[in-house]
Amino acid sequence: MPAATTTAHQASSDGSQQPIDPRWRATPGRLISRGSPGERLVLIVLLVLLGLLIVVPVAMMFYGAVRTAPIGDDARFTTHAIQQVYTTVPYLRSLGGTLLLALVVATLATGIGSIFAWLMHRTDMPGRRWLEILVMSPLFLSPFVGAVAWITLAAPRSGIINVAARQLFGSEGTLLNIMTIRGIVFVLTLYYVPYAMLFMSASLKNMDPSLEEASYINGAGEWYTLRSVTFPLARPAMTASFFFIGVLAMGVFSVPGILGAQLDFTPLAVLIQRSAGSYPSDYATAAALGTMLFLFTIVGVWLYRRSLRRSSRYVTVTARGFRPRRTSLGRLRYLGSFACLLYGLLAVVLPYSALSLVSLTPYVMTDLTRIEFTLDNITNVLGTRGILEALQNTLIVAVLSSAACVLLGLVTAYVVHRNRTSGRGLLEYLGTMPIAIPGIVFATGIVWTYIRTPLYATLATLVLAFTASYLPHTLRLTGNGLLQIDPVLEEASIVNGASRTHTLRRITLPLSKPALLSGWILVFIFTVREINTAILLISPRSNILSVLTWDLVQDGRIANGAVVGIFQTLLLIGGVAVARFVFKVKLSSV
Amino acid sequence: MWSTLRTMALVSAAVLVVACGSDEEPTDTTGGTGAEEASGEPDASPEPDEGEAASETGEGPPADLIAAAQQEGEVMVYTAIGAQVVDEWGRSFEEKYGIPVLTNRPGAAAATHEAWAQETEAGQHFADVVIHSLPLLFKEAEEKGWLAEHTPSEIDSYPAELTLPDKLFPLMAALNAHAWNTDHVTEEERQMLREQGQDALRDPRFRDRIAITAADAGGSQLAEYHHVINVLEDEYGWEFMQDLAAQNPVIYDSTVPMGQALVQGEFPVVFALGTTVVANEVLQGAPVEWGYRDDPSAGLFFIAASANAPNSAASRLFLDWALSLEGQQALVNINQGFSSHSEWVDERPIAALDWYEPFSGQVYLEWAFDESVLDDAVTDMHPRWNELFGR
Repeated sequence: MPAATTTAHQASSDGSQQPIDPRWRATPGRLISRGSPGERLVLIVLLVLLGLLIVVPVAMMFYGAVRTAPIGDDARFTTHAIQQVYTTVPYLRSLGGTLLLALVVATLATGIGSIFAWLMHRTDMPGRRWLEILVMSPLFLSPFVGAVAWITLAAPRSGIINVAARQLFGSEGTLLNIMTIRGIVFVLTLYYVPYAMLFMSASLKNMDPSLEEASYINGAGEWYTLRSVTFPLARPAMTASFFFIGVLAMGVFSVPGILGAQLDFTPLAVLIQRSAGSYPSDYATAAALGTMLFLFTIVGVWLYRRSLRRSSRYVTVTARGFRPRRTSLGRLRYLGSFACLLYGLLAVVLPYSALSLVSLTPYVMTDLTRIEFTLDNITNVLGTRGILEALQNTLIVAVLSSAACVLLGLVTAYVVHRNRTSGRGLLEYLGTMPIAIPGIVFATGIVWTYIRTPLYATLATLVLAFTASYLPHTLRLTGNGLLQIDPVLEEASIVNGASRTHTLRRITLPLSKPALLSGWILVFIFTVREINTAILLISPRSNILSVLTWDLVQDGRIANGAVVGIFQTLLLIGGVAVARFVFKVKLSSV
Repeated sequence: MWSTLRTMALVSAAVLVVACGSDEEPTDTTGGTGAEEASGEPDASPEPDEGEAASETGEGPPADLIAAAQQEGEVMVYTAIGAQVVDEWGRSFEEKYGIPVLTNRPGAAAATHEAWAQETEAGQHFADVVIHSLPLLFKEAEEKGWLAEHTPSEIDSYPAELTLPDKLFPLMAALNAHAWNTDHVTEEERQMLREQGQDALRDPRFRDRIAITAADAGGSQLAEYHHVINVLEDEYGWEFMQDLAAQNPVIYDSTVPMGQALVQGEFPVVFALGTTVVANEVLQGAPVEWGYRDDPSAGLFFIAASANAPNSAASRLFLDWALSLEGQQALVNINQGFSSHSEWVDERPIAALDWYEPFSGQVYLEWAFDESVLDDAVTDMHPRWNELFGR
């Protein structure tokens, strides 16, 4: 019998049967509202809000691509930049190279991250608890600062590792060359592995173990079960991770900008920055390149969302607890630990050691036998006007952006997953779209959107930009959190006479707490280390630590930049420590 | 759950209060001058003594300008020169007049000008003073009425051909040179580079060991490549560029990372280096030396006060001080650039180093206001250069 023709009843306190509000129509596994006027209003408000936050800056970018200047009375329309970018070989070659770079980085990061996630959550590898923290630690270091550190370590002629190797082995060759396409792939992969681990950890932790148990019961071994059951179940999450990282890799300019001086091709994001920053500036070309990048990354986002939807089919939505079986690796478990330690060495220990060394030398000295130490860089930085303000601004922006992002993500996710109002799909798409917009491109659109408003050059602009940029992450986390809540729990509340608001307050939100806190800490981390978006949006009175680091490096003050980079990391660690020990958020649960 | 949410809400609210409390005064989008809207609160900064004494004797800026500037309380400088350099330089101004100098560096010269230009077009006025190395862009700004008018008290000490009268003034020159890392060249190579100058870069032994900046990287590069290719066509010209390209150099988008690569020893030799980029490291002991042509080119940094400055008096006072001999000495002693002030004597620490050799001729600065130089660069030199070097 169709559910719509059934009038459900609930027991009232006197034992009589009272009809349930017909707007609450129970469907298998889900309690969804058909859409009251209030819910439709909320949806419309959200669509308008996301439109202002996201669509308008993107539209300004497309507008800038067909203008001779972004603003000003002298500007006129032109299609020259669009024609050049979309039809000439150098730009198309750059597009091809960018796609290939993103493909390789996404494949490697997803593969390595998947292996690590499996080792952590499905095996008896020793030291899992601490190794998981180590493997997630690169989230604390911006890829840009990591690239600066790796130049110090592995520049072909002067890198610390190469100089030391020549001195030790008496050779003239180069052991490691970071300033190649392989070097760029290496650095990007190192810093995107934690993203892949986040996706895969969530998938493995939420996977229904009964399917694997069934395989064991029927006599299959652990490796067969891994190949035939676990891997296929995890494949949608791997695909989602692949496309997510691919989109990020397409839009990053800081790492290839630093390491790519000797490349045969220039990634699109670097071309954008170069077009805007060269003399004479060419903002139309920069905007046109931005549109090209956007059109490709939006396809990547569509594929990412499809994969994410497929992966959620295998999520266990239950109020019952479960513990998956761990594979015994035998002696190989030490190999797993070694692999994690090696990754930690490359992604964390070596770069931070290099940064610390650079911060304590008068100039960049890479011959360890002739090193001289000084505290001048630290005292210079501490004495720099604006350093305390930058620290304060960073904290303010990070806290407010995180809060705004979590709140907006929660409301959006609730409307998407708990209402049946039409238009939810568009809302979800809008909420995910910022992933497709490279930071520097989005920032350009934001500048042109807000430059004539009182919000320009204020911390508010940064908060708006970061909220929009990181909404997809909180949308994903809060959405997953809602999906994991067994609807039976909310139904029980409704059936017993509780209002929807009461149910939200007493059932849904408390159960969503881990997701909310995870989203908060993730956005906090991203905001503190963000450069790509922030670099165009800061002003004299709204400077933040990450851009200060960039400015110092661009000024040639590498040592001072290293000091600020370390300060930034300490701030991140402080934030994560507060989340871990005050709010009990596990880093691995983000 | 609710206690946690309450805690987080309280934290966010506290942060919001701090953020609102730290916000500066609302942006004046009406184009009013800072002097007209200056606060009536007396300035708590130390009373100046040199400035007032100078004005009483008729030297230096007038006393009423100083008083008005102190009333305004700060000056915002948009600069393409390193922010730390201007920060350190500005402390001298603050010590003298009690007016703090705030700095903003949107990026290199083009980015600095674009940030200021976009804000001005949009009616957002933050910059009091603007410093960058693209005089033609300043000329455009002057035609749009964006430059304030002020006659610096020591204007007679500057060559008139380097100014837009009462609007734009030369602040500092960063000379271009070829440079080398002494730890990564032999003594013979070092002598070659010192004695033969940039001609030494043609030697096959330097193949795969040279870094250069791109011709379209900025004003300094425009000056250097135009000088070498067009002005010194008989001596160097495109033939030199072809020889340089044959050495398979690595090309940087900016002189700064190239300078850092030189200091680190990644490239033994570089061409088209703005020497102020590495001067600080050299004074710290970095093993870098450089050599000038007899008539070197230079990136020339200019300074102007914004006609829409929120702190109009402070902007003009800073301009006045920046162009005084005192201000010039303070700047070039920090970043080791060259002053155009007629009374400036080179007492920079860099000039005292054993290896340093001053140039013998004249600095090439004629490119600064010559529009045909930029036109030629855009239509011919840049595309041809990029093709030659495979960019």
